[in-house]
Amino acid sequence: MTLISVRDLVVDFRTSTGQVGAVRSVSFDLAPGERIALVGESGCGKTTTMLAMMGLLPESATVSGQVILDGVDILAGGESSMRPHRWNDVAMVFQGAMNALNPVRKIGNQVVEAVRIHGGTKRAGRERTRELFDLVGLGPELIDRYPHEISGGQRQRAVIALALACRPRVLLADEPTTALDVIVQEQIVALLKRLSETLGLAVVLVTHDLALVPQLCDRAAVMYAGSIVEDASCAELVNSPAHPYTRRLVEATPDLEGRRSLVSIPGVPPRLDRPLVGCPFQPRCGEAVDRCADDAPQLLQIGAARTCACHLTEELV
Amino acid sequence: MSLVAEGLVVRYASRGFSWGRRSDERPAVDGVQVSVNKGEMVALVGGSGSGKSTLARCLVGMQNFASGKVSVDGTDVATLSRRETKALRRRVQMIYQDPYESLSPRQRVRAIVAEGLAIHGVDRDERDERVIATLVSVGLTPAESFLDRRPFELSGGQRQRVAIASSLVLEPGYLIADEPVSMLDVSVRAGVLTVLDNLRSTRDLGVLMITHDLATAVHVADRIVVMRNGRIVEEGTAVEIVHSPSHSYTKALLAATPGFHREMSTEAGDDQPGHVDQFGRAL
Repeated sequence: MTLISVRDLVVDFRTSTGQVGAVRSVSFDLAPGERIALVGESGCGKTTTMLAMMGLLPESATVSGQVILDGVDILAGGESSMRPHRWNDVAMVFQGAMNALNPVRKIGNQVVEAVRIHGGTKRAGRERTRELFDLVGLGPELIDRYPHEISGGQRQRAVIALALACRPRVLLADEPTTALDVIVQEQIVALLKRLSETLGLAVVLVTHDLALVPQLCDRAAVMYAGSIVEDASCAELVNSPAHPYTRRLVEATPDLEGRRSLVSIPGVPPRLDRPLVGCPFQPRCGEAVDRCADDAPQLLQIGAARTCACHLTEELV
Repeated sequence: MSLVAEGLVVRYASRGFSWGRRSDERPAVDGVQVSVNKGEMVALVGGSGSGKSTLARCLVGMQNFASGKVSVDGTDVATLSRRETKALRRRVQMIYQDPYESLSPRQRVRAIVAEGLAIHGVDRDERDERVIATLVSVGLTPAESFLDRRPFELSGGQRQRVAIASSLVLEPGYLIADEPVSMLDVSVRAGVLTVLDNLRSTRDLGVLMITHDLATAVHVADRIVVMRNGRIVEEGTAVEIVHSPSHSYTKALLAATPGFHREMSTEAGDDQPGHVDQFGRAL
């Protein structure tokens, strides 16, 4: 059963220097309670994909493709078709949101405000705030604290509570643990996992840290230059990465065993303000063959629930 | 030859008037003993608020301490005159966490890297030569093509290399790196860590790397020092720390560090207890 499905999503930004193709045909499905990750370097289109699903991209963006929720394309009707679903069905924890809480208002009141804007009374808002704080593991005594009085991990929990205020079914979490230390990071990941399991919440985790992904997600899609280059279960991705870029990412990720030497990926991702010819990873790929330079590989099924966009894996089809 | 801190204590006075409430007087750094030898990389690991950065600031002379002693190659920093202190600063340099903020957006790479040389009175003629040599040593080649660029024209990894170059241009004996890769993409982290490791071996540089990520520490450090609540709770080689941690906080850090091998093998144990929070309280 599919809850939300992104189909052929394309996002272009108009900038003073020309058109930037930030997202170049991204598709994925999400079932209730399913947790997937979007992984990749900065600038590969992860956050833009999430913002498109929320209908929050700026005017300079042109969005095409479909975001299908319960069988209906909520992208097609513009703001009026997106608005009933934003926060009510699809919610997002923005990158760095824990630092965006209003410093002069008590955190509980900020949650109450969210409920009231969505049509609840003040009393309902207060009740819901208590429920939400309990849900995310914040004691009721924190309702009347100001953001500076609580720790980073607690602020992140408060931001998750805010996102859950309207009982969404899909939660988009953009780098929810980047500014936190590892112990707090683990707690936040455990919280997201518990919420997903108890509420049937579908979660999309956006991260650049591949090591974090198996802690939370069942499946991960690796993005490069605006496209998904490999989509597989976490175990497959980590133990037998198929795409050369995934392989390099795994090699670049430090591991406690420490015996494996770390290898960085040479070069930089391609500029997205010009057309891409051939495979976008080809200039940085140590395994490229002749056709990679001018023939862009398609995302093809290479396993039961696994896709990869690389000429070298095409024989696996 | 080493950079040593002995019995270091740093207290921050609580700011402002506290309405009769006695604030928690626990020192930020509480009697810390740490040393970095020439040619050695030491990782200082701990959660937020453990005092890692405060300790680092003491070592480079940017933080006054209540008691204790910092010495560089046997010289007690406190006994020096102003001029001698300045000379000493050349020998202990710092790299900051965020190369998007630590580099002046208006300066070109040439000026950023040469700034230390100018401050320490190195001849103008000599400066360019040393800037180029330093850029090469951090892997920014061809160096000439980077001289006239500004930070916005560089990637995160390149910026951090420029930051390293600007610390390195004075040929210090010790480098204090405060979370040097945490703001960088995973794909370029290894490159920056390799630069630090090469400098350690080729220039006999002593490096103290602050990080909250044990996995990174294990990869590059000879020795790992674990800090919590301003105190050092455990110290040992990377192998000792990972395979036979003795302090409960080290164990909690290890358990919380994401890693492939562990995730794959402990998938059944989802509901691990939350261990302890950053202040060591059980959850």
